[in-house]
Amino acid sequence: MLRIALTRSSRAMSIASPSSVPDNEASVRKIGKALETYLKNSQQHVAMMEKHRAEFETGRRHLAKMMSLDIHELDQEAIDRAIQYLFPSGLTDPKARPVMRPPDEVLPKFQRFTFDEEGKPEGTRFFTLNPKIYGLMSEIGVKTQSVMKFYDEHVGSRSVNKNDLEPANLSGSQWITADKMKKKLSEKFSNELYAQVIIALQHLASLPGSAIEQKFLSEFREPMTASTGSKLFGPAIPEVQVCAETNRRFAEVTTHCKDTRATVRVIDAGKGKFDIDGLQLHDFRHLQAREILLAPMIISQTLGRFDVEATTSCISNSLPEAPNRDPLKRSGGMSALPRAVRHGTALCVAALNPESTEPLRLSGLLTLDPRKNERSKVNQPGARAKWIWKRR
Amino acid sequence: MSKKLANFAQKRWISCSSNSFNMYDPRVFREPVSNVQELRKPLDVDDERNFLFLKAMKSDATPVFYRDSVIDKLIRVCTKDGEKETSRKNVLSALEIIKRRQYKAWTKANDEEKKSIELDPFVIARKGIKNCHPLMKLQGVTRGGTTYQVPFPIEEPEAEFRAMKMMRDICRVRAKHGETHFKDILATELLAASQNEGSTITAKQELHKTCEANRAYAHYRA
Repeated sequence: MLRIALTRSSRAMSIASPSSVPDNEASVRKIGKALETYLKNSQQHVAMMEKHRAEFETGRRHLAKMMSLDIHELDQEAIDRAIQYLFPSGLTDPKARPVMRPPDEVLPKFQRFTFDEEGKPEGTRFFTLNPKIYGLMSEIGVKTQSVMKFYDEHVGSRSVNKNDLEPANLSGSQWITADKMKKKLSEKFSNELYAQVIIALQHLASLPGSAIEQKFLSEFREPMTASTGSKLFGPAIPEVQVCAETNRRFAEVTTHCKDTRATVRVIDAGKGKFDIDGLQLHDFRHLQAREILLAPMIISQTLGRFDVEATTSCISNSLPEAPNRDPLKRSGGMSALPRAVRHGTALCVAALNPESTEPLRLSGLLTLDPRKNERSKVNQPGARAKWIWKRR
Repeated sequence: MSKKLANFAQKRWISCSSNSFNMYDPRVFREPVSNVQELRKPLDVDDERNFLFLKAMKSDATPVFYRDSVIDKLIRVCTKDGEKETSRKNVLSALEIIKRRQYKAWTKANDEEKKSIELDPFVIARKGIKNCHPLMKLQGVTRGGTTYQVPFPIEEPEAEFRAMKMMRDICRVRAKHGETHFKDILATELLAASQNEGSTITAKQELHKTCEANRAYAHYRA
């Protein structure tokens, strides 16, 4: 903590500790520019935070009065609801919408730094402007040296645990992103510095004997499932229900492919019948369409076990008429309907036959196809095609 | 960055020649498994596909017992105006014609010759297209106002595509006036190519000759 007290003049300082100088002698000392700037910024920050906290408090009282709530009932959730009601926003990005939060959460934090008696910062990293990340890099360097020394001393010796001589186990995880690292160190730095840190960490993790630093390394790893959530892209596998009249298990799900929406119901203990908008399997005259519809059953080896019922609709036909568009081109296409039904069937089969979930997932049948028709651009006949180019 | 740029370009009508935008984010998506035997085997514990998404199965990749990737690709290459079903009918009819011709030859042959006659049209088609694979391709490189045809090395999938495209173009030209159908001409071409004869093989050899003639321009390869 600062051991130097502040006086009215900015440059002249008096030392507060009684041990060094007698009280009657007020010696004026010159402090370093670094400390002077730091103190100025610190004062400004403290003053700003005080002002904003006071404003927030008055704002809360006004809001409570407006929404006719008791001030004690007005917690952060109530404030969010009130702001959503008073300032309805059509902005799609949630970060762009208006918020009202305590200033400690929203305003930039001020980094506290310790200075010694003479006004010099403790540790030279203050002048790097990114002290924490350079500190982290030094720490990684020191650990790298110690791991190499540990390995050299203990390789072949019987007193050490064999597992400690392995490189660190990094499977199933990935390095944390730059944003997460910035939050972790509560400091902003460039992407080049982040890359250097990752290179250093990767080198440390690759060394034999880095298992002793497993804990340190896992602070900078996040599990890979964090990036894919529930491991399925699109609708989740539905719950199995039982039909009351016939006592047969079934599962139902709604999916889409391009512009075609499909609601698919797969019923167990069936004969392999299809009923898609009243059509049966033989009504699909293209062989490819029939292959697509049967694919989930082929992969899960359940041909003839399930009955499939589906209803489909094309949403682009229900949209208002576009003047330039040829109406025939606005449906999903020949394969969109079978693909939508296939996706729904696969999800339901995975629900009714859980041992086939992994083969269905690996074959790509449980993934929603995110591809849509690319829009046509002005000055072009289509999405990509261009008019014939003439040199003159 | 290029994804945001492409998004912005689409919305703001600015022409953008950046990298193509993929709806499947390449960081989290991987190719699906097409082989049925591999699907049954459980994945390795360390395999990254345990933690990543897999792309949706392609429409013509259902693992039926008659699946042939080369014939599927030939069907796709011969498709015109998005009419895949017509193209499929043409290609499979061509294979049927090959089978009929080979069977006819087989019935008339002696016992020694019978062993050498190949009856499976899929095998003949694959062999024919394999024989048509070019080893290099010509790409135009502009230097100082003149465009030189520079020979470039080629990968297997692209070589296969170029072989199929050469055969398709030759067959289309011959079928133009409508006397003979596309399927008959394609059957003839595939049979001839499997014997290293025919117009497609000649076209491939011409391409090789031009590549050989232009080998001085190989220095222009960037």
